[in-house]
Amino acid sequence: MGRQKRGQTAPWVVGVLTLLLFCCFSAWIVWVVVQSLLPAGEPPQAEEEGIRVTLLYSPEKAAWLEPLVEEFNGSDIRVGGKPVRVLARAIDSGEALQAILEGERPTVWSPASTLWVPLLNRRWQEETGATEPLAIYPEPLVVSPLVIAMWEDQARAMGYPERKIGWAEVIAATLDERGWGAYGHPEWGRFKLGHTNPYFSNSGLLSVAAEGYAAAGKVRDLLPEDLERPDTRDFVQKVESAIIHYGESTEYFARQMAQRGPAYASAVVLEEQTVVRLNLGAYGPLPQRLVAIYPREGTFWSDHPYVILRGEWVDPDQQAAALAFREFLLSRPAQEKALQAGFRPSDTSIPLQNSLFGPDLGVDPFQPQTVLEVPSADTLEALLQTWQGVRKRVNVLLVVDVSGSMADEGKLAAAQEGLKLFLDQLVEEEVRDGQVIEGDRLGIVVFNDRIDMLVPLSLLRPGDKERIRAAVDTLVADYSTVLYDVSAYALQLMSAPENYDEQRINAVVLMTDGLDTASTRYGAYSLMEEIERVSASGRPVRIFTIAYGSDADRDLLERLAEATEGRMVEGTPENIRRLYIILSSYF
Amino acid sequence: MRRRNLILFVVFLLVAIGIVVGVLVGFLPKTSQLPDLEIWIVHATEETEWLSAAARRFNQEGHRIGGQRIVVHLEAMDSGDALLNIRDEKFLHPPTAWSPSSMLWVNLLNAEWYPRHGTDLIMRVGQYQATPLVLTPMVLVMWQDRAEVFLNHFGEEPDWDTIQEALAAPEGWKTLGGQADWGYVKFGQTDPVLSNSGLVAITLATYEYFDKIRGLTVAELMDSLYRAWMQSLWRGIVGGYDRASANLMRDMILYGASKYDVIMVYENLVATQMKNAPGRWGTSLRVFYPRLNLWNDHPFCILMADWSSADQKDAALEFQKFLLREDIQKEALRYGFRPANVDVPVVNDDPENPFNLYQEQGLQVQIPRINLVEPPSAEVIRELQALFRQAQP
Repeated sequence: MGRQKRGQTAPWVVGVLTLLLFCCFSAWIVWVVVQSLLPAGEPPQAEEEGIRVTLLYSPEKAAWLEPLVEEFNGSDIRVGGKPVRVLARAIDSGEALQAILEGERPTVWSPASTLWVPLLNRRWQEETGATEPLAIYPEPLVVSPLVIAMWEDQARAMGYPERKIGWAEVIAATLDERGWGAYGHPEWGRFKLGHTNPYFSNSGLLSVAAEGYAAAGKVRDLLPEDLERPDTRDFVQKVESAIIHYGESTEYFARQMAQRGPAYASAVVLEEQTVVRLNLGAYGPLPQRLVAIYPREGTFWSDHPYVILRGEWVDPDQQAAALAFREFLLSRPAQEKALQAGFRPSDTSIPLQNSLFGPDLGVDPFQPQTVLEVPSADTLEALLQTWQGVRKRVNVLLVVDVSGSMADEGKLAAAQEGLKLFLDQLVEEEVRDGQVIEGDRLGIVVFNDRIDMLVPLSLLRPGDKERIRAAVDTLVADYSTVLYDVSAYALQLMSAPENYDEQRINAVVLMTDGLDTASTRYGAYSLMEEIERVSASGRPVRIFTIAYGSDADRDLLERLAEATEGRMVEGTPENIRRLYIILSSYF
Repeated sequence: MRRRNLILFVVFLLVAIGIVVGVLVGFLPKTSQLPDLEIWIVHATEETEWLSAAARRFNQEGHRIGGQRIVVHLEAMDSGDALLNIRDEKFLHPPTAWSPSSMLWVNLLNAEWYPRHGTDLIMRVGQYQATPLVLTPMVLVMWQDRAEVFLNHFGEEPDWDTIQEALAAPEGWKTLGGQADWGYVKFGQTDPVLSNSGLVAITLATYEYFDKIRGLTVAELMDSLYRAWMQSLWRGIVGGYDRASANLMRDMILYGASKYDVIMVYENLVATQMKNAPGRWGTSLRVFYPRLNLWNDHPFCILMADWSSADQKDAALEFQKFLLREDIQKEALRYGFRPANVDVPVVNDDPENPFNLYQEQGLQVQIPRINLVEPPSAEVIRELQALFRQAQP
């Protein structure tokens, strides 16, 4: 019984063979199933190739957009089977426009307002000779009206909320020498109005447009010829000379308002959204609530358009991915988040009534009742030119390092180029309608182990720029560096009563590549003391520092800029071009 | 033992073979399945919500032509853009059918197509003829507080002549008895070169000016008084021209009366946005039907172009039949459209039907005092568009 016959297969062999066969089939089946679950025809890849969408957006949307970009990138949303990654960068509308013209190639641009779109198209077509506009089909993501933000006590002194306040009242108060005395509060001093720099910032551009309307006595059909009229120009000039702060950006303004309260400004032109965020404490505690004044003559809307650019660098995949991201931003959950960031959602099914939009946050969801007509691209260009012509002039001392190390790596040549670029942007004196219009005031100091006045501080007259350019070409680099001494010297020079001009923006621009090696009068500590002394003198001077090369004492340059509320930048041509505009925003 | 082993072997073998056969059978239909029959349909923006829901359902129902499953893809486009893209054959996915807002665009596209190809692209008769899907008239929409002031001042419902007078009021709303801070009276319409509703608006205004309902001629449009009158209408537009009606309607709610006191738009869009007005501005909208009107019948036009196969054209026809089915037509009511299928009544017991909800705000099933105008010829339409272009700065 227990023995097998010869020629017969042992039962365990049959069992093992069957099991083996079964295992083979099972393994094959598992393989087939796994294959069928993979996308047809595509072998598994070690790393999937994704679609990159680059987005430039105006900074006031950052609180809303940043978390959404992160959520989108983490959501595995695919277009044509490929994952999409959005790379977003916050940049002021005017700056983004310039960046695109200078070669930046984003897939999508979302400025603060559609106003910037025809400006970009116009300049794009002028500069590239393109026949088609670059930006079309702007779709609003969120909206916010432009308002005049005022401290509640001061607004009430002007009759708020019963009395309808407009651009005319605010401008009249700004120009009134009695200041708040005209409203029974002489202790509040002057009525201080501020707006951001129109070259950079949306609210600045809109403010200047509103001024243009007020000056021309219109609420629509503002034309370039209106702005050329002497009375309009005079009006705008008066207002601009009375304006106390241009501010580089809305964010800058908001921070200053929160930190310095009514002493900084009585009224500032901002988007309603910033008022909401200020009152929510996003920039720190406020001394009192701010209220949004919706100008009775009308205002503008910032509509934060989403524009997919039609450049040859945007391929169909990126277009489709950009559309998918737009859809995501317009979805209800994303739009509801816009409310929390102070915006009015473009999804009209989301109500404002009974939301946080209300008097507690200083806003009225049922305002504004009317708008000013959006000016044409021609008129906007004319407005910018008018502003450039009437804005506050600068009183600036350029301080240039010509020590031996500047001869290396072509740094002196770069600094000379930078000086000329800066010079190009300064305004010379001109005669208009028989009237002399003063230009900017400029001086140039060069230093190595000694300090020399290359160009004495003086008003720029026609032909001066040429002479200064020639002088700049003569610079030679040699000897050591008295960085501390020259910084103190420049500050003292500019804050001296005979040189300081309170009608102008007083600043020092320091261009250097190195560390102090030869100062005899000041060290790091005593220089900071000197800065404090000058700041307390009532004749504050800002220092803007430009670093060349890798050896520059960035720490000192940063501290100098910070202590005087200036700015440090690297010495690229683009930065120097921008510096003049930044500088003219700080006062 | 031996028998038991044999049985075991057979059982294992059978199971293994069963699995293999099962897998193979499972694969069989896949390998022999025909590919989907995809069609792309370009449509007017105001149809988006209704058509998207309908297309989703159509695709789910799995309609077939010759064994191929039909898959419908949609692309919303302004009528003007769609016309140019079709004429110039500029598209990523060639459309098998187009549903513009009205028959005006059928005339225009055929007028553009015929000289180039010697044939019409859209049929007027036969199986593939352009067929209305849903209807909607034009309406004038005003904010309730503005409407009250307007009615008080003019003593009648707004029409083109009273609107023109209001737009020209020297001190705007103040002149009409409204509040000074309402500013000028602000009118809105879409761009008539790109959008049907803008084109219909200027067509109706023109008929009103000449006090007729048919036979508009190019010669009449040369009249300088008429041209000045039209320009004064456009001067009241401060919010720019939206390129799509759905955007114009959205913008009226988004920006409130600050940008638009009164607009001319499709009835269906007002019907769907009406509910959003109070939540944004604390007041309602009021609807008025102009004396002269034109039905926007949203024709479904199968394009007789060689970029679509016969099967694709038949698939489009299948989708067209589906859209005219009673339940889908009834669904259109929710989006404010009036069904083209006469078996589906405008009023029903659906509480979401805007024709039930907004009668007090002026939405009416039976439109009063309406005179339908004749759609103008392609030449007249082109001249109207040219006049608009010339008037823009």
